[in-house]
Amino acid sequence: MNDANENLMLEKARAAFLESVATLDAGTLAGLRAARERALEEVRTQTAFWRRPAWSLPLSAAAIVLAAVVAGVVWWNLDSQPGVPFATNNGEDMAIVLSNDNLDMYADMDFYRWLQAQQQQSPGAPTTQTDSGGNNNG
Amino acid sequence: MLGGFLDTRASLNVFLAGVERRAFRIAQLALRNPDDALDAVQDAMLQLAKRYAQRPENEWPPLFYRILQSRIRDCQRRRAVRNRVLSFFGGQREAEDDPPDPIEAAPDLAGREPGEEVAQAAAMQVLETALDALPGRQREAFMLRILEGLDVADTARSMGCSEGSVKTHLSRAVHSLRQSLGEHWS
Repeated sequence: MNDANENLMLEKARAAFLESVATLDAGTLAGLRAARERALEEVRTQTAFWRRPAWSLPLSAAAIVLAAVVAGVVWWNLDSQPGVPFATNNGEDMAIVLSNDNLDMYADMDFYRWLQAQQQQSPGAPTTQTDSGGNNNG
Repeated sequence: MLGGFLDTRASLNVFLAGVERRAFRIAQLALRNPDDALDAVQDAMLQLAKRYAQRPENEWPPLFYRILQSRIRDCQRRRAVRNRVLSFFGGQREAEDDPPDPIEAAPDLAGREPGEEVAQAAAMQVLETALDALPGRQREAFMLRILEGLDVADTARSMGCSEGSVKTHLSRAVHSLRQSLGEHWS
């Protein structure tokens, strides 16, 4: 096969290929179109970040700096209170708040006031911490 | 900035719309399966959009075909492993992986097929069978350089090799195809 025949063969190969491309079925074409749309959607998603208004960038930077300053100030104040570790102190507060006993104490506040009054009126008298007797008098 | 985004999207749309059908057929010739070919083209489109949309447009064709060839090779490797596993357990190869029947693929040399369309389809079947017999790199070089029409430099970029290698692969491919197609097409 000489060069002319070889070129003819290559042209024929390309023509057959292009013919097969031109006669693709509708389902395949729809699949290709959908694939292209997905790829273009990817471009849209990627560029969405960069399409923010120009003024939003310094605003974001200022917000980040402000948040860092506030966090630093709060941390500095917590750190500057000597002797009371924040976590421990906070834990004790939470224990007080969550304790059921203390809620009971507030419910029996009238009894404790009466008991105190009794002690002030007769300092020598023995005192009891029982709830039952006191509540009956209240 | 918004204008640039719209330009990029529109340009990419034009490029992909222009190349998608040929890319699909190239993938189909290599993979012999339309579903796998569509998956490979879709992956190539997505990767191009995700990674290289901002690159100059003249770089898109070799990049796109490089990704596509990579996807095709991945698919062929997966298929080879799957076939090995299936044969190890005594399974049958899938019908889609069977080599084409040369008798069925051969054109009717007596000229009984009416119409140019049928003749073209038969010619394509012969070409597919001949391409299938080529080594992978020779087939890639022939499809990208002759069927897709990339120049030597872009073909080299698409294949990830030197221009000299492209010429070597292409020369060997044409030589082999001359042997197998010559008797039908000369």
